[in-house]
Amino acid sequence: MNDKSSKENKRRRFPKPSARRYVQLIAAVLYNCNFAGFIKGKIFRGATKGVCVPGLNCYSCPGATAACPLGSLQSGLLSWRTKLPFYIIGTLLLFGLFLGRFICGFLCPFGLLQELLHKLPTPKIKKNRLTRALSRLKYLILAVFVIMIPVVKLTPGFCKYICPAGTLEGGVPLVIKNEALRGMLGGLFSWKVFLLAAVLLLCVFCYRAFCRFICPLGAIYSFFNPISFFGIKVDKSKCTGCGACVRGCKLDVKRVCDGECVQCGDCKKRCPANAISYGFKPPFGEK
Amino acid sequence: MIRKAVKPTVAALILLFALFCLIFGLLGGGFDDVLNKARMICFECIGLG
Repeated sequence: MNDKSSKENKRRRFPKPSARRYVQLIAAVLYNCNFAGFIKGKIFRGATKGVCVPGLNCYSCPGATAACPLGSLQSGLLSWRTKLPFYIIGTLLLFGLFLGRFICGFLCPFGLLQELLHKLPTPKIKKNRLTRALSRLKYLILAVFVIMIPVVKLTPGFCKYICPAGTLEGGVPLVIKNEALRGMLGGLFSWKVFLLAAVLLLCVFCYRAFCRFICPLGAIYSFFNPISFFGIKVDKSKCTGCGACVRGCKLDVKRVCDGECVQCGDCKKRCPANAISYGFKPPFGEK
Repeated sequence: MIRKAVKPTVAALILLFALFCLIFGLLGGGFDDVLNKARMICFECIGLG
């Protein structure tokens, strides 16, 4: 009896990873499978670096085998006077249109890290008016740091001043392994390490704080969430309108699959009518 | 009723625009631009630039 209850306790404390967790892990490994780069402290230079991954993953990470869409967009905007970054814009539009913020929930390594940090047993900040208001900040960051600063100041504003993924995946491993880079450390690196530490700490207490309040890539994909071809959907013929999906969601959503929804599928488990599922959305109107 | 019709129309227009951007970008050397940028260490990204 005791043995059975201890097993039950263990299962409750360490639940079996979901299929989504495996997809997140596979995506993180695929994006960063140049393992030799971590040992040598050098970045990958193969032809796949010309392709953008859908999630936020710094191309200066020694393991990265492809490009970061947000970094590529900013660097493309630096030369907007002579050439617009049509290739990146097209890629982002296609990612958004096909998957929306399903990418945030399933294919973003930084999202995975935030979710793992949130599993640490500490008091948690639940969604409230403040978090709802802060969730609009990412749109301001998108407009100012990803578009305006690169266009006006000709510097990749988000990568340079904010991106904690760049510091964690690119800055820290390269600085550890590369002596020449260590000699170049300055105030900007200190600021970025501070910001990274603050974001990671916040994520321990607040579910996916970076995705909700800061991530401009999530902000871009949020515009496509309601019209994306694949993702989480509600069968209106089964839905009883009980609101369990929105009430139980840790994000600042107002309804399933609105701009704030990262399509993690928590609501799917909570729905008493089994009205929520993943799949291709009907091409003409809602079901 | 209107919303039901608008949604796929918007999606179709975005899809066409995305494909146009992608093809136009590829023909204009966008792939090589990204490749050349991503092959080098981005000093701004890692906090040294």
